[in-house]
Amino acid sequence: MKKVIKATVSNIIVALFIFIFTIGGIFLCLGRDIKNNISLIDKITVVEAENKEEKVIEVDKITNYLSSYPSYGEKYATLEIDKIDLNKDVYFGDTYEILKNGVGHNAGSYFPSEGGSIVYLGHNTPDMFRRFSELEIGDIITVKTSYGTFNYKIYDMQVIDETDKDKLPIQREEEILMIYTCYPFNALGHTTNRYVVYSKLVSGEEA
Amino acid sequence: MNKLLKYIFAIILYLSLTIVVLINILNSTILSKEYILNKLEESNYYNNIYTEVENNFENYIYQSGLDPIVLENIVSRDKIKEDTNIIISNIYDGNNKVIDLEVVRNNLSTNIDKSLEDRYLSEENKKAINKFIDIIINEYEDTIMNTDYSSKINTGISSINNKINMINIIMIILVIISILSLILLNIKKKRRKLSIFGIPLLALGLLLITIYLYIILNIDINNIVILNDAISIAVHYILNGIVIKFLINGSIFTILGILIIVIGNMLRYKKVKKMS
Repeated sequence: MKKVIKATVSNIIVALFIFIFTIGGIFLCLGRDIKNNISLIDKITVVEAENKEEKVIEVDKITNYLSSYPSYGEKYATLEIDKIDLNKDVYFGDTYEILKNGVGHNAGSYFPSEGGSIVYLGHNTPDMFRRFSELEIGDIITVKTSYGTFNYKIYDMQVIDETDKDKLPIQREEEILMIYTCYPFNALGHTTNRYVVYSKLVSGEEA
Repeated sequence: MNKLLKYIFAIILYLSLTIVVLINILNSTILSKEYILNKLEESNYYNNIYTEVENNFENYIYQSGLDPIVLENIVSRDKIKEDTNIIISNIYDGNNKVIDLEVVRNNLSTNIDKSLEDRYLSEENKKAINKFIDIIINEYEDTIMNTDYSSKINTGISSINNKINMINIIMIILVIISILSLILLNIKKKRRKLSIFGIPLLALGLLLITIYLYIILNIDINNIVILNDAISIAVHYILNGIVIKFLINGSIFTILGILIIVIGNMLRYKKVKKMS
């Protein structure tokens, strides 16, 4: 019996040795590729945070940049236009999913108070921007955020082509809010025109 | 010298058997049309992708000015299943069938005509409506087929299949050669070194279990997100199925390896005891 156990143990040790040698060989030859592939897979793995801490956003007095930014898809403000009884949530991002729920904020533009171009967009449905045709130069648009309330005065309205990105310039010399929607407002089907309302910051009160 | 040759052939048996097992795991999972179709059913893919298609259509209706009713019943679950099966068949059977989009186009056009029958439509309206229909059709095609990826997958799978089958045949031949060689080397004492066959099996079992553990500890399979929820869930089922195969095969080979080693040694020393 002792000999059987001894022989069995020695056979198992040989098997373990072969196994360890294989693992070592795999990591030596393919270790980097394996790590790279795992980090690629990590990039497409989404884990929801269990307890989302509410971010406190403040404006940096020197740079005027925000201390932190909302996550993509997160609601961070409300858009109010009293002239047309509009009061809608503003979300960071502009996917179709976001636009179903409210106003989208183009991720390539600045935020209220940062002193640059802000681009909002939304559908021209009756409960959203359908009444943009009633807006006039001088009307006030209000954006309320957790870090302040900002008022913009309309100075221009234009009809542009959907590909005409030059009409929505991103700059940081002056705080301009540009809101656009599909045009004509009562169009049927797919339209390639956009109606843009341009407004400048006239007052801002930080929270 | 004899002992050294036995261990060399045991290692060759181990390496070739490892490759055969890995190839067969692939052939019975990701490279198997039946496996993929089963997993699509299990993961409720067809219903999920139907919901995805409907949600995606909704994205375009708000700004179109059209009544949302025009999107009703333009696509059925059966149609989606049929089209998905065509795509799978193209990938795995090398077919080149095209999914029928005219049905969707006709259904949508009919719905739009009905909802607008009392309205005057200018030429501009008609063009815009046709453009809308084209966009909906493209959206359907893209959601079902993910055209960017399907052509890459088609060419990838067929080239992998050819190479893998060739390697599989070579490895099976090597397995047979190494088993025969081990038998020949033990021919005079055929019951004395049965345990030599258990060593590669045990090593292979441990390797497969280690691969299983490495994957589950380093990859969060159930939170992978690819393209949309329907595809993501199907991918979870497919990958979990593959990972389980590693565990099952690993367990079988480990147990088999230990049994052969133990039984082999018991027979060997029983024989020696009888002879003494």
